[in-house]
Amino acid sequence: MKKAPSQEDMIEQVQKILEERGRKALEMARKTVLEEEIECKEVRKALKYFMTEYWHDVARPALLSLCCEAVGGDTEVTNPIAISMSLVSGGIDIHDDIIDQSKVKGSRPTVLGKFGKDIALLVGDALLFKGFTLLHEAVEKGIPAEKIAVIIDIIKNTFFELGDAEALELKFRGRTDIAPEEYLRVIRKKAADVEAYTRISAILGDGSKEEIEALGEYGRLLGMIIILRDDWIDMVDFEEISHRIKRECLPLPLLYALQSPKTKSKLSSILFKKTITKRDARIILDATDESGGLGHVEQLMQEIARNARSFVKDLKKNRFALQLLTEFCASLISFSIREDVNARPTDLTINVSS
Amino acid sequence: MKTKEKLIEQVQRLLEKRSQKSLEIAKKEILQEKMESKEVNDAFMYYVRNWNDVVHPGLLSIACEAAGGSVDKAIPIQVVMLLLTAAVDTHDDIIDESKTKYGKPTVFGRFGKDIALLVGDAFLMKALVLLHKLEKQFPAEKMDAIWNIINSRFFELGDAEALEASLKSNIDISPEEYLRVLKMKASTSEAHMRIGAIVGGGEHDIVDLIGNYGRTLGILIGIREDFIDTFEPEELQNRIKNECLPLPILYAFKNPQTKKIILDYLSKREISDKDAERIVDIIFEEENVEMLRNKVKRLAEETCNAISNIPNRNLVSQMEMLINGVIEDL
Repeated sequence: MKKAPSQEDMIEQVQKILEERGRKALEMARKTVLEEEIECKEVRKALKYFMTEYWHDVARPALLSLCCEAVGGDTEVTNPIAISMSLVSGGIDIHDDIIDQSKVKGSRPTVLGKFGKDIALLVGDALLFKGFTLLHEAVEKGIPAEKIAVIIDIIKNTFFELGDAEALELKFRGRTDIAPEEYLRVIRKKAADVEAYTRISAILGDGSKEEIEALGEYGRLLGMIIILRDDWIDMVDFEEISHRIKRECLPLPLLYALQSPKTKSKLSSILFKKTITKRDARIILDATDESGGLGHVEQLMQEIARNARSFVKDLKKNRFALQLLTEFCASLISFSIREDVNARPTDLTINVSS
Repeated sequence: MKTKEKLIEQVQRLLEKRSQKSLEIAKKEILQEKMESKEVNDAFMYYVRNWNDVVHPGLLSIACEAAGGSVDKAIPIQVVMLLLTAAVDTHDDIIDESKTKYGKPTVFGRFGKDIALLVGDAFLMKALVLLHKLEKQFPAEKMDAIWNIINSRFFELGDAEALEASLKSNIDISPEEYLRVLKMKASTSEAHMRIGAIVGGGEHDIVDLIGNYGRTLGILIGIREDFIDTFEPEELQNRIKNECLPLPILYAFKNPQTKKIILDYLSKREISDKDAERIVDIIFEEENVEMLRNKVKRLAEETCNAISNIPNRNLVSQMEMLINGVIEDL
């Protein structure tokens, strides 16, 4: 019997696929933005920081390439769209950080954290704008105008769905009474980003109607897994859980845990504290785990991953890589992070707007 | 006094007439986007109810006709530019922390930073999507030119915003430094007029002529708004806290004695109407401000002379009226 890949093997394999597939488009996106003549030193510095030190998103362009090939398309055709969409995603990410007041992500300061709100807003605008204007040039690079029109509609709908999710999430701030189902609906909306990538790539690859739909749904589910994974990881990261409690919606494992009146009464006083200590974070994590919140989300991720895999099983190519991606994102249990509240599993660098 | 009002009224009527259709369409376009979030829908509705930007679409329409095109030809691009301007304005209000404008709360003032940011993004996205949809209506070379103008002017405007943000609350900046920001911000008017002229089918030299007119007009509008802010105590306080001081005050500051007197007034927690009146008196007595006014008059004259080559005499007189309307109160 074939031995199942170890966690390390899987990480290595996934990173290799993403790196190989996404690097070129990321480099081209960087070059395009840095060519822009900007007089203001601060904006120039902020754009350079974001594009060269902060934004290492090879996953999105890699997804475009993988899915395009999966329906029999030529991967090269995805590059102009990957550049454009990558910049739009970058702009959305920076604006989300302003809304969530996220000054640090992972261990790196965000554009907001390093340059402040005003510059972050302008840099986000510049990326959104540049991303969209580049779509106009994609026609010259060989993508038929009719396809561009369809792609633009998808991007627009995605953008509005993401904005809507962000606005709905604002209502969840500082609340302990949110039904997990309510938040899950917002998570599904937020996953529109990944769906846009997979759907567009299937269109670029001339996929059949069924293939486009299948890859679209795969992307939506993959996006959900990534968000759930982030929610799970936030539970064990002291900085993140403090930030989520103070400024954002509580992570899903905690929302599940708060469904139990006993856990709710135990955690309420901590959740409304002005400052969360490491000890508080530990209590929250333990209580969430004891009441099954973490397990529930893990199970949910596995279910969604299974569902996602079913959508790619009949594709012409890259079935394994696409399935591996869902498996990688959904497998958290083997990360022995419960021992250390500050530890984080390897970062996959797919940042779905969160 | 009566003549002054008449001229301003004429300008307003002219711009309203040229903007009405596009403004209605732009309103419909944004309200078509039904969101689940009630706040965002309310914010769209609020913006639409108070949306009365007749200047930008009006300029575009004038430029289109001056270059030989019909008024109707300009409408689709007027809609795009209206949405784009709304995006920039909504985001500017966040940066400038402008909670009220023309006596009404802004989207930022009424709904807060987060919703204003999302609403601005939505306007931006909508504008760019509609611009893509125009690809079929205009020849490729015109569309390329329009995209290029929008791209470069948008970056210039962002640059101006960033430069202005870096000068926030700085009372020691020179008027020349701030004037450079105003020139950069006038890229919006230039873009509107340049695009209007392209859509109208103008030759390269006419497009340049109309574009340059747009830039100067934009600078003059900026200066005029700075003069108006000098008269408004509430606006003046916001400028002191969150933006640059208005240009006339910066010119007055060239005289150290005047600077000291005005700063004494500005450092008060609240500027009363009487204080504001006194500030205005001091400023208008200042020689350096008189120099600014003369400079403005010269610039207006030069611009009116430059457009005399435009063949359509009726449009030339409309463009002259705009310039004169903008500077007459100063």
